[in-house]
Amino acid sequence: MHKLETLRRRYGAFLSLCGTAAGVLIFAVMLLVVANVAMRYLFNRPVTGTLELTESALPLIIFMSLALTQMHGGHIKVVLLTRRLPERLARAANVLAMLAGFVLFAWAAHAGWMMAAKSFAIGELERGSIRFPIWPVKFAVCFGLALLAVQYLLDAVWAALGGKFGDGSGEVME
Amino acid sequence: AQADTYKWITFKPQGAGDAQAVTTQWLVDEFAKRTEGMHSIEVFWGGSVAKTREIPEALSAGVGDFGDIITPYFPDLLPLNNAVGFFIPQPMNSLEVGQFMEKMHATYPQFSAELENQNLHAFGFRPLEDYGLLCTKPVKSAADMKGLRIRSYGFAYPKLIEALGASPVSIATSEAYEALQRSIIDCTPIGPALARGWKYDEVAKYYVEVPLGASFGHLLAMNLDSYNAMDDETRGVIDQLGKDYLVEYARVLDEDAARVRELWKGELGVEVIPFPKEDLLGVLDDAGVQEVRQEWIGKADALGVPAEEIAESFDFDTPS
Amino acid sequence: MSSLLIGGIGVAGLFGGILLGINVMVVLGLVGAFGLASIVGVKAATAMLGTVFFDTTHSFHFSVIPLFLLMGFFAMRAGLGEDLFEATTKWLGNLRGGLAISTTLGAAAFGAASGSSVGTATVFTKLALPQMLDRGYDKSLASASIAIAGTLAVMIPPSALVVVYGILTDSSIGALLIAGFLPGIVFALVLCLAIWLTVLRNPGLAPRESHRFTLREKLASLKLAGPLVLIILLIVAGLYAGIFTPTEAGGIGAFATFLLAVIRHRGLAGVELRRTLLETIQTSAMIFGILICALVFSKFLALSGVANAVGGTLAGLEVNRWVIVLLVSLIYLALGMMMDAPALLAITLPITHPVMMDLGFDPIWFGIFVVLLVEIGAVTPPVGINCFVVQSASNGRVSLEQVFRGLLPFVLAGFAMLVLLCLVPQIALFLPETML
Ligand code: NA
Ligand code: NA
Repeated sequence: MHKLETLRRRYGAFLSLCGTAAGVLIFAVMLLVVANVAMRYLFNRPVTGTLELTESALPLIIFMSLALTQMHGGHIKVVLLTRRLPERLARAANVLAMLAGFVLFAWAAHAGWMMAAKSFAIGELERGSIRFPIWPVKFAVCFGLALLAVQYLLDAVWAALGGKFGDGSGEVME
Repeated sequence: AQADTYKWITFKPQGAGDAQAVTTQWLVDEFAKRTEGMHSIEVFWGGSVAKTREIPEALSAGVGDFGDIITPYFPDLLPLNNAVGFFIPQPMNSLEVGQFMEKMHATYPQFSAELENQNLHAFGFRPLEDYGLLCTKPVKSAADMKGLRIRSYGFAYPKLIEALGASPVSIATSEAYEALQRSIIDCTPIGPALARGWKYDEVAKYYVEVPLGASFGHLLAMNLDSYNAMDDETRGVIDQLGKDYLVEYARVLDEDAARVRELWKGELGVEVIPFPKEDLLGVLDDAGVQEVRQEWIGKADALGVPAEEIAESFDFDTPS
Repeated sequence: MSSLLIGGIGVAGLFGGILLGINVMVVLGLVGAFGLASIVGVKAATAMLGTVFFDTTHSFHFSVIPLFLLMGFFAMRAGLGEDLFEATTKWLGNLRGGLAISTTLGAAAFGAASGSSVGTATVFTKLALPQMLDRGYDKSLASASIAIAGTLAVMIPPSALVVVYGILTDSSIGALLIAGFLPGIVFALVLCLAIWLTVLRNPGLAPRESHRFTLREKLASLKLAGPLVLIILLIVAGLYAGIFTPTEAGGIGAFATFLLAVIRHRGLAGVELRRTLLETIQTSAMIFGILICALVFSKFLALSGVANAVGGTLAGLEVNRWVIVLLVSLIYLALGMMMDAPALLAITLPITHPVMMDLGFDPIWFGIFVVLLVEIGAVTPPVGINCFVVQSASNGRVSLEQVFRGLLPFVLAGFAMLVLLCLVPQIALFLPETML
């Protein structure tokens, strides 16, 4: 239990790092969009590649944050019924819920890996006013899905051992 | 034999009413008729099962049996079948582009092998219409294009637009209406029927007949296993339907384009402006344009087809 | 087993899983994936899972959602909520139910800078709830009026949910955003009327405010609202007069509120940039997680034939088209009890949108109508996300039951607004139709 707690904390610190990177990225996208408009109106020279960079940034932003959101209990659920259950049953339901998340996202990560590998094999490019390889973004999506699967697995073990979840940012619904 | 209901997955909304949607329905009806009601196709319209970018994977894995693949979205996955897209402008019209694709598939097994590798089979080809440039201001020559912001997408347009002295701006299809309206772009490459379909002609009133040619287009594709599992008779029906489809589609497309041009003369008030062909051909030697063409030739050579020879199909006849 | 039956089992599984306390995102994705596997095979289901996450997010359009959210969070840091609430209470505090009315109008104004109903409900719970409770307002009236006022941020542009509708139905996002402006204002007024009438019937719910502000104080408070006027001009006028596209409006709006926050705190330190960014990306992840998994589920629903069966039944009914509107509304209200707004839109629009278009309704009008419907769902029990947010932001001063108990007049006001939209569609259509 103690070891698991340490593991969860370290893993959480890593997820926070990923989240911070995603946050920096959304801020950069904001600046890019503003720069593009400014350059268009002031100099009739829009920033080349605004669309391509913006659309490739979004998957990175989302998938670097999914697991962190789960760690903070930010994904919506309904505990209307489960909070009325006796302790043991409630714990079982919680383990089941976390395992369900693990199964889905492990499956999705596996599927995402195959797509990313295929994209890498054909050297897939983002093609527009600028060009760059798109497969790194696909691998990042897969990585984010895997991070989320691991978080669900940690949470499942945690719940099975009787660990409690804080109500995080207050978005867990009761 | 048992009766089969096949699934067709498409991005096209059922009510779209354009040549693509109308002829998809035609094909489905013909299939039922020609198999004498034995087999049928159920269409899942509007991306309800798979969106444009998901269709090749979905089809390949058997989510559906039939589907339309927007080829230019997959230049790295399907380089050979994307040949036409690397050669803008080129002289062929819609029907000719469709026939070109049929000829390529009949002549070079590499074209269908590229699809078979993805567990796909193409039984028909749906080219797009002849493209010109729809603009918010009159453009009469290449000189008028200098400094214009022109919508670009795909792999050939950016370099071509730069070669013409304009700046390419990437804009999503669904944002192009607002971009034209707000002067974020001055022009977009498009044909009359699509311009009407997306209502771009409400906000851009000059259609410049830049002879960009027809582009390709959509593969009418099948899951390879579903195709192979058909009995000989049904497979024969599909093979023939693919050929007949091109003729029917080209007919509906021409009708559409003619109807739109009538509307333009009337209430919509879109002015059609001729454009000197030599102004366009003058930039074909541009290094950027040539680089895109050479990219395809390099890829295709590596895949074992006589690329230089095929590329000659895209040469404009030198004016005598 | 027939596909329709599998579809039916899937729908039952969805509700069962949600009630078991599994994340809504996970239930949608898992039922969808297993459903696909049972209809077209495991390989096919895996292929869909492999593409849907990347392809849905690899989109220029969708980047407007985190930008709108960022704008809302910066607006919070810039203290726009405080300023607006202060200004509206000075002017309207003395009315019957004046604090609740001030909250509603303040939230409507704040909605012009925030794209999320949950965010707005949070801000005004922190600002207005303590004030109302300290002055003896009824807990149910106070908390419920904040929960519903949050939904105004979704009607008034910017709005993440309206963007979701636009993308799912291929409608013009610019026109949709502008279309929500007037209905948002009208709905705010309808809600004020509901508060006024509720207090008129039972004056004990809200003691009259005795402190009066001088005209000078009132006029001075208008200055506080200045920055917001700037934002409204930027966003609404920018979209309406055609200076930039919706995505650009998101970027510029976020940047403008960022500058306001920096000015307010005289530097970056007070803006808590890292925290703001983390809040933005986590809310974005929550929305996209639900949205993508809802898409997996809706693919399954489409393939199973359930979607076609429901849509076909609706379209085939030989009744007046307004009866269909009523049926569609009831479906949304029923599902809205259970489900979160983006998920609800992703699952239902492939079914209802074609039906409504066949009946000749305007896609922009239907967008506003349906957004109002799912936002009513955002307050109705048992799953009323705005109520959860108000309760959890109240630091234990109100219970969930108390929030729900106060909702009746506001849900009725929501119905009145729906009827108003049907009777006078021009409320939604006037601005987009006159857009430059
Ligand atoms: Na808003
Ligand atoms: Na609800």
